Amino acid sequence: MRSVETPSVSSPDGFEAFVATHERRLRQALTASFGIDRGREAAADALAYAWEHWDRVAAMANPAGYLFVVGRDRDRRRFRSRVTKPVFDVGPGRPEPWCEPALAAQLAGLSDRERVAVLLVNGFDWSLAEVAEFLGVSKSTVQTHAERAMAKLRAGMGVTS
Amino acid sequence: MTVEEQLRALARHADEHQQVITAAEIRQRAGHGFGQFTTRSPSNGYPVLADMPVQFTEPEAFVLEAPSANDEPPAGPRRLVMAGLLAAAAVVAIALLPILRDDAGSPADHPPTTITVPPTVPPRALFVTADERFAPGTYSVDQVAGSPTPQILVTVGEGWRNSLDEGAIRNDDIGGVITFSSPVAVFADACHADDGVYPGPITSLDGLVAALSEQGGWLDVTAPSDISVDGYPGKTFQRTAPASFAGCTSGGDTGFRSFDNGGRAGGWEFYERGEIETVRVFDVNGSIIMLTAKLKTGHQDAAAVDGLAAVFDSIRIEQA
Repeated sequence: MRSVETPSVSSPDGFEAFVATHERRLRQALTASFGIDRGREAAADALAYAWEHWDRVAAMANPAGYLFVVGRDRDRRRFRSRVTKPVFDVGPGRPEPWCEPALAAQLAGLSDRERVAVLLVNGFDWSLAEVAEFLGVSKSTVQTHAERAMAKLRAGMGVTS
Repeated sequence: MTVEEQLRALARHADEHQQVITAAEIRQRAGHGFGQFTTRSPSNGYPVLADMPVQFTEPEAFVLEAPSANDEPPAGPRRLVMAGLLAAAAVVAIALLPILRDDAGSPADHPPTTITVPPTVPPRALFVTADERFAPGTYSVDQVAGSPTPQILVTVGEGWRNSLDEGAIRNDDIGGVITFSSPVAVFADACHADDGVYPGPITSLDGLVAALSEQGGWLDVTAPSDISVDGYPGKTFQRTAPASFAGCTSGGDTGFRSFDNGGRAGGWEFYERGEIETVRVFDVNGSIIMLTAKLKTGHQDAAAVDGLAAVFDSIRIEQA
């Protein structure tokens, strides 16, 4: 029987395997940072950077986490004199999702670290360990930011749950 | 709907409405750009955006690529020259440390501390890009926990990197972490943060030192002593965390938390079992900043202690 070889991440084919494995998470993390539209754009930019520097990126211990930093860096350069607040397309009249109109503004008012932590943990359902590994920080840090963010969101929206 | 349910709904919405980024799209973006990367810089070959006159540089180029020895020294302000001289002094100190130690073991016992950066290279920003190893050299930061400070310079050897969570640098080879904090509250007992905070003011040098050194829960705390860096007065002491945090209720992974850094950064507010921490608190023009050097348990041999101390001792604070 003919065996099927799995491409190594360091091979050219490995880039496609890497994209298949990490694209969604990278997009989710940058969406948490910048909002829905800019998040996707930043993820695409970061992956384009990875393609152009694939040999080096493939050799990294945490390439997805590195590309998260690349995506943030590129977005900030692009928007340095224009829009800086993340945009979450929610509110009355929108087809989906159903969210309090105040949620988008409250999310935009969080620090970047808090917003990323709370959206990845409580929104995209990543575990603390997954976020910590991705961002290169401790689980305690992620937990602290997520808890603070949740407290701020509840306070800002005037709810207790 | 609860806030958590709304966050999940928002996340689902994003997942369902964003187009998946395919490898083909990425290659097209990189090669043809959709109006993005249309050319490359003649100076360094990096992609250049068509819609903005700003050259893309690799994000890590600021902090990870040591300039060659042929680089011209900057014609900058005098303080950069002074910073360069300070960096040179620190570089020499770090490079000579293993030689000067009477009880130094074989070179292999020591973490690599060879510095190859020319001494006139200006310090590079410490927290521009993260989670990538620093090239040996001098780095600077001009804020602590969000509060502006004069330039704080630190010189590192091999093996150091910063954290994505700005405010700490670490060397996993020696199990060492150096942190930059400005606590807004210190818990009365690190093992039971829920019991309340230190009752006195912590907005002065003596106040913060008292709060940290008198904090309950520690296995051992040395008496604070006076120090000074570049004319800024400070105090230093050492704390050792207990080998067990059984019964501790301060949250996080370990249940042992010393202070609140104001939500600006600070996974290092939490401590690990047996961690040894050297604390230095300074009054920098009225701002009270806390610098710590922590060694994890199992990494407290002489080589690790020296490697961490060399970097911690390299810290300088510019005169405003």
